[in-house]
Amino acid sequence: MADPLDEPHLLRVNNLQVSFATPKGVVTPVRDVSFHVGRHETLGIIGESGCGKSVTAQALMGLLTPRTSRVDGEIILSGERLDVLSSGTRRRRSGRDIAMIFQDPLSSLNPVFTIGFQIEESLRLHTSLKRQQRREKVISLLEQVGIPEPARCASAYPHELSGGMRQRVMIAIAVSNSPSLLIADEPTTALDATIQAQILDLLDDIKRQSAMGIVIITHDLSVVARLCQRVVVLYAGQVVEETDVVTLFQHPRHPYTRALLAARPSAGREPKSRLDEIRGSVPALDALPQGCAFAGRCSRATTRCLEDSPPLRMLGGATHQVRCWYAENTGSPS
Amino acid sequence: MKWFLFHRLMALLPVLFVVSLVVFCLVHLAPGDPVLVILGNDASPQDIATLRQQMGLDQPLLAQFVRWFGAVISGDLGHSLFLNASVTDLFMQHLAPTMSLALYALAIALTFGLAGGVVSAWQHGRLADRVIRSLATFGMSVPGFLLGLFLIFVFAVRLRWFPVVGYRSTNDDGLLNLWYLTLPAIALGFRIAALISRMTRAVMLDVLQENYINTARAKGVPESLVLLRHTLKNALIPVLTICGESFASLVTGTIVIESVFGIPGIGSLIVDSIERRDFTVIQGVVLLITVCYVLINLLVDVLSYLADPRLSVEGSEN
Amino acid sequence: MLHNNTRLFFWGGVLVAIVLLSFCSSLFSPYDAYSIDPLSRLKPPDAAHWFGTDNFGRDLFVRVAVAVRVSLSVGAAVALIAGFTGLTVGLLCAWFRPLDLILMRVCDGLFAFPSLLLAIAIVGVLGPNIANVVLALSLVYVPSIARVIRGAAMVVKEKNFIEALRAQGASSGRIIWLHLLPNVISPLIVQVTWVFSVAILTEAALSFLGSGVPAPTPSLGNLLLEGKAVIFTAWWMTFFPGIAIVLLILALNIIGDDLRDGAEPGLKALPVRVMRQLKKGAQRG
Repeated sequence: MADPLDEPHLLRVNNLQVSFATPKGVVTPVRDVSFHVGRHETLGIIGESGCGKSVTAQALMGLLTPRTSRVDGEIILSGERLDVLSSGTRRRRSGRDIAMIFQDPLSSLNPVFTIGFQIEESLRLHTSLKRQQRREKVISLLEQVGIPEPARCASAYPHELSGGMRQRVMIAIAVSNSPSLLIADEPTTALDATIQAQILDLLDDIKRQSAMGIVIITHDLSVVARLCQRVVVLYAGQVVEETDVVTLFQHPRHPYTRALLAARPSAGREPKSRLDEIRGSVPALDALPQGCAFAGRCSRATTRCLEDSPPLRMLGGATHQVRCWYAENTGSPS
Repeated sequence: MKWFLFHRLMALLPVLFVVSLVVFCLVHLAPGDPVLVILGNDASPQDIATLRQQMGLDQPLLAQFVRWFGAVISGDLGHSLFLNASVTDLFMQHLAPTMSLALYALAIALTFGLAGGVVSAWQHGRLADRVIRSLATFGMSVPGFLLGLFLIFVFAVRLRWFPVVGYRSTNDDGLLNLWYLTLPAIALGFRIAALISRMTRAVMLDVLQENYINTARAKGVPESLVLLRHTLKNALIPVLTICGESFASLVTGTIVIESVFGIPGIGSLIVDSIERRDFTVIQGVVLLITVCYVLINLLVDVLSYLADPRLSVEGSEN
Repeated sequence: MLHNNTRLFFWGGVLVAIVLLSFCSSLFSPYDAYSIDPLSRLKPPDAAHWFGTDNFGRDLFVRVAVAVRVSLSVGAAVALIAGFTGLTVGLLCAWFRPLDLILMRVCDGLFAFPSLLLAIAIVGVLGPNIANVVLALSLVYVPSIARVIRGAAMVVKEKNFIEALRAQGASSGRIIWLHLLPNVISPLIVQVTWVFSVAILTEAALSFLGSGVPAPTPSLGNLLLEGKAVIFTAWWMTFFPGIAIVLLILALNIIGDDLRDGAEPGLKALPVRVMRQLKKGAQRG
């Protein structure tokens, strides 16, 4: 999967594999994931729940407990390999070079500390600003993320704010040290629809103002359409399709991607027609099939699909990869 | 918040009333005649009758209760039947040793309990955790007085590091006071440390599963701070409640430990008064101890409430 | 899982062994707990007297065995009496509002006392004998059981099926005993087992203070009291009763813990073979 232009990427992930020890045995929710993110680029990672996208994010940040998990593969940020760093060194990178925002802002903010404290802590850890300077930076960060009355917010506790405000605060914490990479794990899933749009706009604004790469993890195609330049589709712990966003929506090649697109409710559809659904469900992690993981739900599956697991292959152009035996044969979506 | 305090205080009143009722019934429904106890069995009927009238024992029970309760409210707990002192004075005289012992034991219990719980949670599943947990289970199973006897035997008799029994008040020498109190404080505090350690571990492990701990790590907070600042602060709120409950062990424990180590505190006062059948003292001291206990529980409740910003600071939505 | 089962069986075995030894002591030893033998006073442990003798020449092994019997019986009696009374009070209070106001206040009042203090006061004024000890301890622990039962019963009371029963015309008695009761059995058992072990400890403390089981009847507490007097010269008088009570309570606590917690999800140590698999690096999938 070498990039022919050989341009140094902001983030490169090679053959990431994550295994957990559970009472029932070892499970591997992330089996073989590789992708890259450019310096000013927004990458979307899309998939259903259980496909391994959140685990991938946690592995990138080094948040998995070493005792019960094992991470294999390379994680290269700005040319430095994160996966071989000691936990202390890696922890120092977190919040400074790579930052993350989480799905549920209420449970992701510590209830016994004020907002100001939680933002200031990030500054205290990674900068040498004096206390007064930190205080001022906190206020300016809160302004930057669009919070009215930043001074009052800084002395408030998380439960006093609304959901949208809390997510803005999380973004403020994440960008406080101008990281080169931001990972957003389902940033809008827990929010109301109107607030979702605001938060996405905010993320877009912030990216434009700074040279930051963003990885957005979501199950929502509209988020991808709105913000991302490139998309990676994950299924059962593997990348099944990777391409730019326009190609993904117009010429998807993997049957799963096509099914995802077809399952969306769309404006031009006939009223009262049934929504397409993908029949079947994601295979259980401890009972993965021998062949292609999607074969059981694929309308075009053949015996070859059931027996042999397809590799990730490049299609004609250099920037479209698909994990399907019949990727070339797939015509335009109906 | 003020409503909360008011509400709590109001709820206390019926409890305190029942407590005084129970204390009163305890003594007055007991077999045996306090008058005979004081005067002896050979006393003349006249003396008996006079004393009975003096003590108000010829009145109906309800009237006696009202009289006693009224006196209590105004601060008069009566006089000892045997010693020439008021109950309140006796209580005050014996209070200092008990307070020193209790506070010393609490300090030991909190230090080792919290530290043990934190280390246990941090090393969850590993050797240190198992060792601490076994120690805690063991600590909960050894009665305080047995531990006291063991400590006396090993440290005072065999090793001669500490004095065997006795007490020196702080008026003489602060350090000497502590030296005499060390073994009793350990005997008393060990069991409570075990309880605190177990609870702290459980709460810390719960908190460590929370999402905001993940956020802290993602921010780059070093693991030591994650534990000691982010986790512990959240864990302290329920732990505070446990401290309140373990106060009961502290109170009951001093009664027994004082007897083992010969410390002239409230516990000894109670035990001696029961032996002597000094009813007024029993009544008064039991009442005082219980009222203190109730008030301390209230204090712990209030502190727990204040410590949690989710409760004490009004939110815009939940 | 295997780890916890071995522990449970071990301590269960210890408990059974203690109970058997204490109740069948006459099989092991020809001595009786009360006969005085001034010639054998304060003898250290030997072949004839496994635990030595006390200051009246009585065989300590038998006395410890009887003491365990006494403590267990007291604990069981208190657990049963407090259990039944607490159950009744709790259920009735949950159902009948006026009863609730009065009885719960009384329970709160009793509960406000530190337990040993109340027990020692009750026994102190009534006089020390086994019956009074059982009475005092039951009184002390009834409120905690009543509260738990009342709480659990009130939760059940709100459920729809109770309303349905009422609408069908079922009598209060029927609802309480046939429908509320089975749903509070689980918390009842948890509380009663706790009361059982706590009562044994409190009785020991009471007897140690001289306000519990009176001499010459041995109890773990008063044996320790006798031992305290000769602690410097006759270590066995403290050692054996001490070991007995620690083992007993330890066994009860560990078994109680395991039964109470069931499995702590996610907090158990993972089985060894799974960790090994992880370390080897599973190249599956």
